[in-house]
Amino acid sequence: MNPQTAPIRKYPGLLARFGLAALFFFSLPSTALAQGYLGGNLIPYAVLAGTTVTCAGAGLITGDIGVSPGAAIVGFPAPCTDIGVLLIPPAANPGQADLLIAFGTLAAQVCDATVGPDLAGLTLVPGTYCVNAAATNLSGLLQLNAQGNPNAVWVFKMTSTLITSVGSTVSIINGGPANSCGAQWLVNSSATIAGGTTFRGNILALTDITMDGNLTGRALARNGQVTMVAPNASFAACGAGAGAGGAPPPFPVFGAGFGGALGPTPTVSEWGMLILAVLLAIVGFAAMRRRAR
Amino acid sequence: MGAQAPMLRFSVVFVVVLVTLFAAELTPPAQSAVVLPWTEALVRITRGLITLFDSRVIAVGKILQSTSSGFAISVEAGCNGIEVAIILIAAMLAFPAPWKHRVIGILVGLCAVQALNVVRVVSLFYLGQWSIEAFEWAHLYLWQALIMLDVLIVWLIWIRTLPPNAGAQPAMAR
Repeated sequence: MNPQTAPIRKYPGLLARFGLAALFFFSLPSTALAQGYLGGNLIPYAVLAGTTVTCAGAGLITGDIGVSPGAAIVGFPAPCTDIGVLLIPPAANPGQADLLIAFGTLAAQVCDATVGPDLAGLTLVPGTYCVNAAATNLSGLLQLNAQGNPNAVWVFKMTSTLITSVGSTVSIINGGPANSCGAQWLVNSSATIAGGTTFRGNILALTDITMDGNLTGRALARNGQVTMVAPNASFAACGAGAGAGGAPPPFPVFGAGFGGALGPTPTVSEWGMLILAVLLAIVGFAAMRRRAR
Repeated sequence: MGAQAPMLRFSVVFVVVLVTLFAAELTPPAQSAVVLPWTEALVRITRGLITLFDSRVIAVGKILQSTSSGFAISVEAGCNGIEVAIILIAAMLAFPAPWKHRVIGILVGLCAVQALNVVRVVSLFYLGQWSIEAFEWAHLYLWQALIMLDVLIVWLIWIRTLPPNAGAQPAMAR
């Protein structure tokens, strides 16, 4: 009647299976490749800053938010909501390192033309454009013509600041939502996106970014802060698919469980769970009968 | 009759605990406090592990997406391994065994189920990018069988680790 004297078996089977699972898991082929100008560590970010990320309005951010080398993220989970993860050093360091590399890569691009400084009314095909400083760099509609190329790239090299006026818009023509992140805005100072602006592309600013509008793309500040001041500001990593305002993702989502596009298939179906319960009961009965002898 | 009493008790307790846990899981408080947070945590854990060898993956809520191919899977309630774990927990609570063994068994069982479920999600994520047909087959058949087998093996091993006379004793005496 002393159950504690019974031999304690280890779990060799479990360990073996964990080992096999780990072997399978870590032997999966890597598909990591550099994507465009952004390194792989930068892709998941919607917002990355050097010192502080602050959200003062009831905004929705889709994608990761990070700060490095600083560590201050203010305004989450309220009043802002983030569909992603919040990262500070050391986790955010690789992203900031990739931002530094991307900044250098874009800065090395040779301009095909100098445009603006007010880009309103222009329709631009893919290319590299230099834009000089002005009181506003966008006072109306800028159209980016993707020419049907899903990999179209526009590089805007702002010699100083990037400033938009209230209600201005960057739109994509002859392309889709995925083209939004094909626009790279290299800002040698600070970027200010005014209220009511619908902006597209990745903003890579040397110092600060102030957002008071909707962005489909990324707000990436090397040395300074990212401040989001307007309610309903929505940041979305293009890869995440959710557009301004948190629209449904425009990519196929294959449900791995109930409610998915492939139908109601949970980890184990209802019949499977019933069979499993019966199997466990039968094994339990057998064990009890054997031990009763 | 005396030998069958523990079996009857096991059966009754198993069913009662099973129904209770499933009913509790379906309540809004359990859904908001346990099921949904765990589902999102599962996606983040999976993404964290994947990024060890593939950085082009993002987790957005319950959605895991490849930023290179655009393929995404949504891990829904029911896909998080909780229901399967409930069956195992109910069986271990119902089976006459010392509480120490029950606690250890439940913890190890939870780890085994969830670890395999993470592997399942990762494999489906990559299978789907390779072939939707392979994704569906693995999703509907292969992984259901493997998860069930996983639980059954944990259950068998747990029973073998019990003291030799554990199953022959009235559980209330423990």
